[in-house]
Amino acid sequence: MDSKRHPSSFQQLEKLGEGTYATVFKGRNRQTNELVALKEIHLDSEEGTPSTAIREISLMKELKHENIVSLHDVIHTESKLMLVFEYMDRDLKKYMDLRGDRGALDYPTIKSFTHQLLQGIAFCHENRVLHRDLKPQNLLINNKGQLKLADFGLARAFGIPVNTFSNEVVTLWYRAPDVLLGSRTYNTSIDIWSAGCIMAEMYTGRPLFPGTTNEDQLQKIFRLMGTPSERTWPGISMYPEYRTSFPVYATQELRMILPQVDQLGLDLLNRMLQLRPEMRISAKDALRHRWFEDLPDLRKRGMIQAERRGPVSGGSMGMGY
Amino acid sequence: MPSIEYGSLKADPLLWMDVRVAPLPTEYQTDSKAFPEHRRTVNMPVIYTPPNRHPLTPPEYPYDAVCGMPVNQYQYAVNPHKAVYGGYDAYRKASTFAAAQQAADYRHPYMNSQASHYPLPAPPGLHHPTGQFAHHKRSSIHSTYEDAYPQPTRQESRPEPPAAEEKPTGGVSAHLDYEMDEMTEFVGSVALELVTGQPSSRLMPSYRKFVNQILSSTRLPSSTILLGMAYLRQRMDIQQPAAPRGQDHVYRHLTIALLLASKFLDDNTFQNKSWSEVTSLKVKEINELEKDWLAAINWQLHIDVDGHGTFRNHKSLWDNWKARRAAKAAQPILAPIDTYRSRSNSAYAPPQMYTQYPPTPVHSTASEQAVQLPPVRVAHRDEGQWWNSSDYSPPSAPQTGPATPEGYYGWSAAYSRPQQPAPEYSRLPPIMSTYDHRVWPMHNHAPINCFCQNSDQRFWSNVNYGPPIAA
Repeated sequence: MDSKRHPSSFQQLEKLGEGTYATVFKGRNRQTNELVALKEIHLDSEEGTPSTAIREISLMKELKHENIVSLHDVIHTESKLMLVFEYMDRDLKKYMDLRGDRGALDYPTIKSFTHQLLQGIAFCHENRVLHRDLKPQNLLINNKGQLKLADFGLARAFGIPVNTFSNEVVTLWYRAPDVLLGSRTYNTSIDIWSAGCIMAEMYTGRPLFPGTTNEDQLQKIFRLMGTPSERTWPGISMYPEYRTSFPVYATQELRMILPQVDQLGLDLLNRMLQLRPEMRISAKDALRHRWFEDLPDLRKRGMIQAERRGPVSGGSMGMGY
Repeated sequence: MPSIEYGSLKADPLLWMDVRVAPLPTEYQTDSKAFPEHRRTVNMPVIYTPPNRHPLTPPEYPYDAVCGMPVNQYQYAVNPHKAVYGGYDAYRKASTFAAAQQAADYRHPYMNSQASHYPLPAPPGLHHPTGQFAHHKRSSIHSTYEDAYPQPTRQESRPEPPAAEEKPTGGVSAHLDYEMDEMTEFVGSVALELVTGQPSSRLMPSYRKFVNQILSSTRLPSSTILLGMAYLRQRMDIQQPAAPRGQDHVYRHLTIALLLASKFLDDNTFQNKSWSEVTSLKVKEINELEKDWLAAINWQLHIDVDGHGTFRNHKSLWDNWKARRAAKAAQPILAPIDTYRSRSNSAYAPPQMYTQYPPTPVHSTASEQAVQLPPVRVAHRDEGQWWNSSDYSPPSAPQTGPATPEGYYGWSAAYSRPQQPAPEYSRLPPIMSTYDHRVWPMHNHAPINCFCQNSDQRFWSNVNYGPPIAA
């Protein structure tokens, strides 16, 4: 990585997205003509280098994996920080809008994406990194049907014992119940919950638990998964957000709301969407789940729509980076 | 695990224990919406009730380095409405506001009642996150978020939640998992040796105070501090570009090491401006140093926990340190020194003020109990080496800039200078930044060790951290 590189090494093309934290442009490496994504972070003179950028860069530099967006370069000037990422065509949300049937993807693509998602997560977890903000907007897809994890601004290293985990992590809809209950000792299982929500969303084209507030989010989860109690979840009453006044719902069968999912898929989903964090399947184990057994065969037969060549028109990538 | 040593300090692998920290109080605030897209660094909010701990030097950080004054009230006095930080929902803002407001409200009777003791309000600069308002939320080290605030009507409608529900935010721990004095000694010793390469049996009080000021203002968790030590070691091991190793560089290295550790590890982090206020290094310089450091280490902050010289080693060192301290505690070799003696010869110093305060321990060997404390004196700003042999961080005279030379921005400047023998008394960052006397007209009645005499001076610099840092 050449840290001496100058921003002018890249031709700035159209804007892909803008947030309060950064602006993402499509760019082209003037020397190689390679397409890149340029994430520009404005540096505030009082803030210094934002901790989000510090984490994103230091973590992504170590996370070299085919299912994690590659950070090519960092250009640190006085007024801005420019991260040069590999170019991806769009995020999963846009992909679903574009290619899905009212957002719903085809079964082989879902299997491929879920597998790639879990591979990326497993690699993060092996490297002591929690992503903490998995959602369709942060999963990038290219025209080869590859899925890569992006946006590590909220990611966090674990392994060093700390007492300051924030429970304001993960976009509400993808936030694990233990985090919603106020846990500050969560671990890798929070990323698995998000993955489960995303998998279900790929089937339906709609978020599984589109809550509006913390309480509403918990309620939507309980309505489907059943309201937990000390009996079903020993220790739950110790969580700060636990209320004895939670409406009591019986556990629903996942297949009632996800009839399109096959039995094995439901089994995997069920293991990812366990209310109790310690019961949730790990990314590594999930990758060995039988649901993925026919993935090589599907791939060989060219059944995965996302992997079929051919440009997909329209739909920009957004702010996934 | 290989063991590392810093002088007499040895890391005993057997002593290593898992760091388990005190359970945290949690709070019940909820989001009203999905986690905001802009999850930026918050402008370090520090809102919690300090627990009942060992006797504090009241009000926790009893006097500022310069004026012998409590330092906490400043921000409220200046602009309570800005005691906000971003990325939080309305409820939190409301409660933050209420807290700031309460603190602001509280300040006046406090100040009045203390009027005889504290003839003037606190200068700005160091805002200690913990409070003397034992049952009031504290607001941030500083608050620059410009959120327009709703008027404080919510204050009545939403009573302050009990202390137990307070949330310790990020880099600031409500419950420290260490003794501040112990950690100060440890950090001071390790940093000094890492940078200068020379072990030191004891620290000069001014340096010690600098370390203490950083630690007690930021209240970083021990893990963050130990990670910072690992970063410091990592940085010192890098040959190209080599870091300057003079005694006067320790301050800067230590600051950046802790700053980066906090930004990497803590979920809520300080802005560099806050670090500037705590260390008196200019923000611009901190920004530069941070940038240089990141480039030097190629952003490798996600270091191997168990690697040689990294986190676990330092954790082990720390445990060892604590164990030795505990063993010594029965027969203390290190005795605290009543620092107020240095002040009590002033006509202005109200004696009762000090009697309220437990002495600030300045570590020294018992045989040196009679350590010379600096005579109180008025320093003139033109004085070059006005430093005297005592080292009680005398404040600078009016109009002296920070001891940091003007235009000293970053290592580049330091590097470009020819290598000089370490000055006998390094001139190091002043601990306080600017002080607006016009805000504090009462300042004429400063206690003795406030050397600002001219209340028309808008800025003055304060403590010159100039003494040698190791004895």
